[in-house]
Amino acid sequence: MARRASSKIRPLWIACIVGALVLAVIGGIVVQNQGGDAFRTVPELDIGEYLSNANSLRGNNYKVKGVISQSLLYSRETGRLYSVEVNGSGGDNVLPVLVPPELSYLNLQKGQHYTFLLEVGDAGILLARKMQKG
Amino acid sequence: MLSLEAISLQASEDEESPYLLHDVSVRMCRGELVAVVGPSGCGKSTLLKTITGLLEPTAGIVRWDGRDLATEGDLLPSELGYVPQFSLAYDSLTVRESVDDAFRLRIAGIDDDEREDRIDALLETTGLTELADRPVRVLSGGQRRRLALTIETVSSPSLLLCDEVTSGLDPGSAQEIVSLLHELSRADGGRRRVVVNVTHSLIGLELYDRVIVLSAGRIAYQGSPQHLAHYFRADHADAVYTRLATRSGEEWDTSWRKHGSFFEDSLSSGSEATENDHPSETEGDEPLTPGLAAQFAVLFARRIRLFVRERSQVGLQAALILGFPCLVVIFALKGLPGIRNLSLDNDLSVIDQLRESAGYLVQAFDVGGLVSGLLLFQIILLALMGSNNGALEIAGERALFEREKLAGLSPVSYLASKAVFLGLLITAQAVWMVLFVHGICRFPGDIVGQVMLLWLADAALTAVCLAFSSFARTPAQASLISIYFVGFQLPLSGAVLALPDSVARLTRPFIAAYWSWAGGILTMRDTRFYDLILKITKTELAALPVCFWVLLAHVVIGTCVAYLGCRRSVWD
Repeated sequence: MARRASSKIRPLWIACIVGALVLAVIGGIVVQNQGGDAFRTVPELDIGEYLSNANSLRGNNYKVKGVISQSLLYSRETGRLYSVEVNGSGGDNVLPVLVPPELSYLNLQKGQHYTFLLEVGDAGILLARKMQKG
Repeated sequence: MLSLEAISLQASEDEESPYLLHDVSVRMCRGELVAVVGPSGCGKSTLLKTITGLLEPTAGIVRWDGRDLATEGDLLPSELGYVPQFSLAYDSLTVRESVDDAFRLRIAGIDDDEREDRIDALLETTGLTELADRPVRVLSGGQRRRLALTIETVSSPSLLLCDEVTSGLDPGSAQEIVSLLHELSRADGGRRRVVVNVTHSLIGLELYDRVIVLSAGRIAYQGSPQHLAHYFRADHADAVYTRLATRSGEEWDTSWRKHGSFFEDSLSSGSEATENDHPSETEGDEPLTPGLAAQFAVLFARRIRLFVRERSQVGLQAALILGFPCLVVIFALKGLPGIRNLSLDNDLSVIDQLRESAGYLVQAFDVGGLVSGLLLFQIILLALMGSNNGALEIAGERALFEREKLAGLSPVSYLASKAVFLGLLITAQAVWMVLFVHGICRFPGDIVGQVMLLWLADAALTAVCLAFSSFARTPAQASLISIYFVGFQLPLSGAVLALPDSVARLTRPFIAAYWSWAGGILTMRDTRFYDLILKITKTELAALPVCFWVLLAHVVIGTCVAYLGCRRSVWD
């Protein structure tokens, strides 16, 4: 058994600290990749397909990143319809997104960037189920 | 018996480095009071630390009852008592509390009544019964040394090592301490012990059984005090130091090797201790050291008691906890200004749209800057509190901790007691800060998320400064490093001025203020303030889970490094 003088910081402890640091960095990257996108398990909307045949996508959920452009229509019961500018693979597009009254607390205004979780509804209306800023 | 066989110790691992101890062979028997004397720098304290195991000899063997302490098992914490030069006890505790805590930290399995009886007996032996209820701060130098001896004998150690315990005392007090050491060496419920006193004072010389004189790390004399003056051809023992200065350590060593056997033999033949130098029947039943949880409970209770009794500490914490949030809210005493939204209609003219955009930008600078600044201000003030929490927590009592560690205190229990105490303090600081600022300024955002982020920022700074504290050589050094670290938080957070990418990438992982600030802004995501802040900051905001993760990593890694710092042996 070593005496007290030998009870210095052992290389094993240093290795543990370095290991913890590496683990923290790897964990940070994993959290960054997974935690940065709240809707990471939801597929992105294929805008070309939506524009050509929206009915075929009815009932599905998709995510879309876009910028609030204008308020088009408002109804107390159904909510507010916005035009949302989306920069997709096929260029810039404008999509109609209906924000229901449940999400009215969000106080939307022009120029805000949002990630939308959308459900494709009847007649191709995109109904916002969840929204996250940024 | 304690024996040192041909012990040498060099200043460093370099073969050419000077010897602090050179070929030192001594032996000390149970029941003996031994003086190790010599001029300053001759290696007295080094010898004591080598016996203790705090210094590893370059060559030679230290044996206790025949067992090689390096290969056959070190001294148990309860076998060893080590009394340093300066009395180590908390000023605001009473004498009885100090001894009681020592009992609880060092000995397991005794009930309250037995402990009280043993404390009474110990206080009586050391002459402190009348002073039992006095705080340590009012004790005289001699009384403090007595207290240190009382504390070190709670586990009835077989080996009691005292480093300059009589230095700085008046001759009367020094004589009393030597008499006490003599008494302690003789009997303690049948457990005779070796008591070694390192000293440069020759007061009470006649009470010692053996005197070892060191000169430049070498043995100059080892024998009875009666022969000391004769060996050095001095008229009186007091003249020994003058005689020592006339020759080099090497010459005294050579002389001792030629003539010393007679003096050693005379000591062996006449010593009762030598004849009876074997462990008594009660020995071998060393008391068990309490477990981690028991030690934690004692330390935590003691930390709370010390905090409550130190009025300056309580006052400072109260001032920080109550005063700092007031500094924040003075910038928005009337609450935050209202915000005008951008129009969503397309019926505005281009001029109106431009005017609206310009107004929105001005608003972003005013309101967004205010909200971001208030958040950052809270974080920086909590960082300051964190630095204040951690910086002195270990460095301020390092000597005391080292002595308790030597007596069997686990660094895990010690650090855990600090972590829980500081956790309570951090909770009070962060929760009150967030609630107060929310209440007065109507600060926006998710209050729970903000409490968690600000708590983590405070905890991260506390943990990192605790790590600094555990590695610092002095409390002043710990304070200075901690303050510098807090000072870097503001400019490197990127909240005031965006950093160049390369600098940000390099420094950001270490800047808790950034992660707390970025996370705090994200807790306002669903408010309009978030948009305003984004308009005026160029610093990229990390995702909220990442902010939590990094702050948590700061806390965990800071605590782990603090643990390593606590494990280190730090003796002057």
